[in-house]
Amino acid sequence: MEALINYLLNTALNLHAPEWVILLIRHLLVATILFLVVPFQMLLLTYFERRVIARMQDRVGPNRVGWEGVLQPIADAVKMFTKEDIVPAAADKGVHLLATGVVVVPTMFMLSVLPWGPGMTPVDFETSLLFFFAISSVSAIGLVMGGWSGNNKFSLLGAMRAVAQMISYEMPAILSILALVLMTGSMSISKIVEAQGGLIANLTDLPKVPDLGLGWLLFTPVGFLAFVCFFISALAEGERTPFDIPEADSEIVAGYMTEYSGMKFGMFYLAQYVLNFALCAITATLFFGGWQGPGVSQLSAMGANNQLFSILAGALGVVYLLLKTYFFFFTMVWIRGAFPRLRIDQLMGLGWKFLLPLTLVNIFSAAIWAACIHWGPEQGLAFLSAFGPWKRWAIAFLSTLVINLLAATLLVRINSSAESSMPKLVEDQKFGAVTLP
Amino acid sequence: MTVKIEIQRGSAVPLSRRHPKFLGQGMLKGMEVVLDHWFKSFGPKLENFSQTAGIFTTEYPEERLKLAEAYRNLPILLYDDETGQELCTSCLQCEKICPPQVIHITQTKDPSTGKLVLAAAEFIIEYDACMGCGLCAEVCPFDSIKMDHHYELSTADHASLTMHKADLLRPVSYYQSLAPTFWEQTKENAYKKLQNTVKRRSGLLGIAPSMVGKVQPPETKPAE
Repeated sequence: MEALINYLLNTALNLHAPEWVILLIRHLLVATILFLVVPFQMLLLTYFERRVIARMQDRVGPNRVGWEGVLQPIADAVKMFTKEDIVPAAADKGVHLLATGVVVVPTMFMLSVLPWGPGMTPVDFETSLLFFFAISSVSAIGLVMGGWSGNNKFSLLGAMRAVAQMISYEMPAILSILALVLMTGSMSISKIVEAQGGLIANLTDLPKVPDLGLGWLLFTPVGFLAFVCFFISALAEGERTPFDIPEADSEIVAGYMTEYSGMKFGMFYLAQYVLNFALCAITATLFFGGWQGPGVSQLSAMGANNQLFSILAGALGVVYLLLKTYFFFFTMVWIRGAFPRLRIDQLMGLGWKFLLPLTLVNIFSAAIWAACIHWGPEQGLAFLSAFGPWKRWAIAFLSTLVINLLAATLLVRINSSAESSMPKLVEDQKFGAVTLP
Repeated sequence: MTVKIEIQRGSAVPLSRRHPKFLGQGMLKGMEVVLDHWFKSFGPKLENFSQTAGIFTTEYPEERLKLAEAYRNLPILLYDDETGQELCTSCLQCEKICPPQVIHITQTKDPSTGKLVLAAAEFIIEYDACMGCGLCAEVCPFDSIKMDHHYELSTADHASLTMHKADLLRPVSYYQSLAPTFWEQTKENAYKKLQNTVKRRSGLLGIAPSMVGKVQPPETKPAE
């Protein structure tokens, strides 16, 4: 991209622009594209969710505005913009306004480190994974600001619930990601994606496998367990059903959004959908190979000779990523259609008593995986270098599989025995004779 | 600690939740059910209520459910297709029974003799206040007032909801198309009474305004 701008400015127009101008233009362009993409994603996702959940509930969903209702989100946006903006008299007005921005901006930042395609990371640096999760927690501050400033019991309750939930689920989310960092040896999201070429086994572990872009981390026991834990945590962090406790509309009106109306409410909504999109995208990126897929690496290899092929590779990568992202968003809607909301004690129990120990065990297995694959005589494991790469991979796979299965069954048993000690209804209730058709 | 529940009425269904074979079996089952509904929603529309998965929405402006014959919305007046004679004799039964009192009838006087004729000169129903109880149609001895099936009466013009006789009159064939079996039951009686009524009318009195000019007025009786 820099080369293109450089060509346009310095060769075609002969402006002698210095390097920083080119960089500035490049970043402004990318930022503009991102800020345009994000609201449109949100519009698309709201429409997508409403149609999908409607069909799961045997309804049709919005299909009146435009062809099959595709303009419904735009109609909703117009409604949001034209609504009266009500700020409660007793509200802390400055904080009330600021909260919307504090919630939205971090979610936009999250998208800036995502690798959208091969070589298409807006901002690529070594610790982008850390940045992604660090910045996602900032919106919790916005939620507290919004909940506090409204001067409303429901708002405050919702904000408290949101923060409690976010903090307790950030932990398993990050711990499950840490396993991937151990496996791939990198904290850069784009490098984690690049490491997922191959077929079942990825290229970094087994350099000889054919590169079909299917060496997803999901196919390892460590990656699979991490994926399950991470996706559950992502549901909780994105406040999706069954973890939509902070905005449980049947209990606390709309949680921290109670005192917001018009476009300020719309901003919270936007933040939520963008966060969900980002979480789906990061799930697809970390566990399902992101832009990796059959054909991408071959096309980009051909791109060395012909620029057109690398553009095609980029486009194919974006399509793969978006398909995977939408699949996960569909799964989120699917889960919303299937399960009721958890109680807050169940939420905390699941997070702290089940997911957290499981992810800790998973980190242990990830260490074993990394040791089996990469370590040798320097680390005092000379016997491993006697095996070939296939054998080392098999040892790593089997040992981590056993450890993870044992840990999972043990934790399930512990948690369910804790549950069975709770008082239960006795079996010998008096039931009348019931005949059903 | 155990909780004991005594249920007197036989309305409780004991559910046996078998122990799951593996963790999350119930959850997966639930997700399967939801996905099944999602897939089936793309299939053909449901035909009867015993089917439980799939779309059963009737998309209103384009598709409509068939209304039952006994459906009633607001009242209309009938006239005979061929002769154009109104069935109403302005007997005022409906005006008297109308609970919200929205029916207003002016009886016709023969201009030459000044005597009452068995026909309504004006027949007003205030549709805005009518509650659609159907008592007027029940009480009408001449089967002249019937309940319409037309329900899309929403308007921004309030005054247009005061329906005059010309707005209310419909041919008998229209009512027959709405409720064929009901009309079949009362047809004979209605026409017999109409014949008696027509005998005591003269000229264009009692002929629906829209039919004036299209039908031959009955021969005027010789003055007695």
